[in-house]
Amino acid sequence: MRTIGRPWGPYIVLALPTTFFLALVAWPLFLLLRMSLSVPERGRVFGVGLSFDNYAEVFTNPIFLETLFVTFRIGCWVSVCTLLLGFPLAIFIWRSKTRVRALVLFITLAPILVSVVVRAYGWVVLLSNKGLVNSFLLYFGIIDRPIRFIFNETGVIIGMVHVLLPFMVLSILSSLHSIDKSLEDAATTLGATPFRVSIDIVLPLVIPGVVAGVILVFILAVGSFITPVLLGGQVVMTLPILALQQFQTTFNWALGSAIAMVLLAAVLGMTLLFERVMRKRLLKGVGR
Amino acid sequence: MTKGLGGLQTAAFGLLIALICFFILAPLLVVLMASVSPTSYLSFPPQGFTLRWFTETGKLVRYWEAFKFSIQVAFFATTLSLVIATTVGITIARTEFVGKAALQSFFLSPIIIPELALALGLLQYFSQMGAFKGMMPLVLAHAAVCAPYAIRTIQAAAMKVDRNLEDCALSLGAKPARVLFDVTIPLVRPGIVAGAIMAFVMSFDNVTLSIFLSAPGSIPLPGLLYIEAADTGLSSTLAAVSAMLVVFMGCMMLLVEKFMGLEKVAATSLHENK
Amino acid sequence: MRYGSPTRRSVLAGAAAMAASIAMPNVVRAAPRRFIIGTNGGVSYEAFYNAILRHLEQRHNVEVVPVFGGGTELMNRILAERARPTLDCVVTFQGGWLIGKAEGVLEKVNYNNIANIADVPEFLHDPDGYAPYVNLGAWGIVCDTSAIKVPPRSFKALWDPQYHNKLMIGGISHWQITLAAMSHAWTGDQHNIDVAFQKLKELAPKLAGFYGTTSDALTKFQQGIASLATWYSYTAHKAAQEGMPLQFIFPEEGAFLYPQAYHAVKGTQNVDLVEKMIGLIYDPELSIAYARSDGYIPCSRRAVLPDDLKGKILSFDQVLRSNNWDWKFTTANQGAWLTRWNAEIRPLMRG
Repeated sequence: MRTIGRPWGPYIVLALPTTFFLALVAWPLFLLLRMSLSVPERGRVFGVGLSFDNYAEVFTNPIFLETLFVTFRIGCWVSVCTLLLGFPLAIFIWRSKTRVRALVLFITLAPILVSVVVRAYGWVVLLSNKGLVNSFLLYFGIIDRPIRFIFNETGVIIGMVHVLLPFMVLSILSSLHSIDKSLEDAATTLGATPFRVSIDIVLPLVIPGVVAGVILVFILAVGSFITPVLLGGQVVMTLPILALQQFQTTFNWALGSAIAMVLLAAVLGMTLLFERVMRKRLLKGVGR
Repeated sequence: MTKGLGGLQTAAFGLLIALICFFILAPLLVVLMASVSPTSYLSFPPQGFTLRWFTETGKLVRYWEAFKFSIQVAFFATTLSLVIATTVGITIARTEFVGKAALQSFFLSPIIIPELALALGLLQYFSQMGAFKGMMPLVLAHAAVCAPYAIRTIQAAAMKVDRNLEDCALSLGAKPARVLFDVTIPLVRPGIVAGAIMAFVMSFDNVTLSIFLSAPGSIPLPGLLYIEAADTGLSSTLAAVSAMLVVFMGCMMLLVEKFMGLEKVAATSLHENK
Repeated sequence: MRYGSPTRRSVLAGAAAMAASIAMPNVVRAAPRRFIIGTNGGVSYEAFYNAILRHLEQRHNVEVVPVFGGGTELMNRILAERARPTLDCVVTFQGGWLIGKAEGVLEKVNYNNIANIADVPEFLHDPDGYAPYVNLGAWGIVCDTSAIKVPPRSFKALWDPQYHNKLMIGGISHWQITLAAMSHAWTGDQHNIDVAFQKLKELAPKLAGFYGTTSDALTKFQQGIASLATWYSYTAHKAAQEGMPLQFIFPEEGAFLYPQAYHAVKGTQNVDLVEKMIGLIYDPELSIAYARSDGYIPCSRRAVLPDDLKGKILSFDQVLRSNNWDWKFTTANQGAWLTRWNAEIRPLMRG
């Protein structure tokens, strides 16, 4: 503690972790940046020299803007849907006092160890035009033609919500945990229904956890590529897929890194913007 | 408000929870069906029931090896990221210094970098360094990706600890190092435990880094499952392995519940930034 | 217990070693050489190991250590770790090995050391002296016989209205070969890519979907999402082995050959093992076993297909009637094609 007490103390203590991250994150990132700034060379993974040609190619790609937009739209939808599903789940787990709580928590976390590829194929079996859900609905005459659930943006969103839901629940649970339960009891004693208690007492207090969860889920959603490839049917195009194509089919590392860099910058900007807006809102709304 | 309305709301809420749980379980049920399907791939309607995919030990031994390797990697990666995260988390929570915000976001940055790009960058880097052999690159890379989660958790836990307790110990003449190990760390322990669980899961679940950075002859389970699934799809063997993993997860959670209280751990495991 | 008590395992191991030394007295009893090979995982590896690698291990006192991945993943790995390679040998397709050669991460092999190479036709030799081609497959039409009564006989027939909403084509990683093949089908020359784009624009709205990896295509066949695909003969063969009703159709225009090669990685000490392994793949007897399990066309002229494989594995006559992609042309232009594909073909599938 004494070292920490001195003005230069924190720097000494943090020197080692900083070195660790510099070596393992910043340096590989620098390698990528260097590649993305090389002069493109046909038939090679990246060239030599220094140029912005790769970035020019990214920004002149006719579908770049559309792809950026779709990536973020999917990210937003996934964040909103995980919030809508995760919030009630977290409230339930937090409030329930029976064995059911352990069961629901288990169900929430159970899919984590099952490979996302395996889960994606599970969704294909369920939701394709000839899948279980459509067959069921057709059989009982509820619909007369199959609903297209997957191999479009909806499918990507469904799959990603499933993958990222546990992160949202854990994030909200953490801020619920810091709420004084007597506050809720007081409100209930004064005659508020559980619903009202949730909205008026609990909601404002969990907003920090919700914001953290939304940001985390958004970041993970816009960065993932396995689920979008499998459930988007190669029709839905996102920035990670665009980068993946360069690495995995044309061996153009320079262009792939440039796309990755653009994605990184976009996500960083979006996250900071969101955090700033939310913080302003919080200060205004909660009044503290 | 009448009691009846409250009861109705409770029932509706219960129904909503049941529906959400069904959504989470739906694809897992398909996997379960595939694991007991007599054909090596899933076909509808199911053509019977068999447990033979669970007993084909010749095939399963490969997954068992990968599972053990995953546990090892996750163990070392968790230990390393805990050392880093405890240092960073407590320091950031306890001190004010110039550049704190910047450093804080730097420590969280590995989450934002697209993993494929990070994996290729790291592979080049390790190859150029040449100093790392065997499990080392994988452990280091996993630690870098998992540490941010642990940092968030431990920092949040450290902020909640009453500083007076530390000051008290100091004023009674305890050496700072003793205060750190005997007062601060025990008080932050729930956060450390939660961070450990989070880091372990993130490492155990990582696909991209695992595929690119594993040394020949040893690949972690998620990497192996990904490669097998990319080659064969939802085969019955893969489905059986997945089903066993869900059971394993359930056992782990029972253990955690028994010894630490599940919801306490879950609750502190991902605290907000500030 | 300084020396440890004999465990059951050590007794068994000892017994096995004794049995081995009695059975094969000529085997050098040194520690086996480690041979690290990057290859496809899953069912493919099981078949490859049983048909070929097992023999390599037994005959040359080798321990094969696999590193799994797809052709492009593995080539990316080789390229990224070129400073200190960990692999001795890597499987790639033609697009991959062109990059590998250009980047100088592959090692040449000595054809004189490859057994059975005399029986392998000249067009399977690498023009630059790198490893000759193995794992010969064909790219054509694959048909689910339970759903399609009258299979298409040619690539052009895929435009027939009766196949609308039944066909899937490669989306994320097979677009370049699809473009070249369709250009060839409609103009007789694979270099008229503009025509291919035009024809695929007509076809795209009538597709049942795109596929990505092998398993993606398999799943779509299994779930009845598509019942026709432009796909590989060996993947169809493997699926048929598992009981799926898939059949490879040799199109009238001729299929396209899709060979792979096991290349030695630059800097390996084990070039001789790569040569020995290729020799085993060319072995007439082993290549028949390999064809049975994995569906690859035997490369050796001396390999005679047994009756049960006739019609299932392409005959050598069909191989000779097949086309080859101009990979140099493809590799040079695929970047521009990809941009066009993403912008022009992909969005049309939305309906």
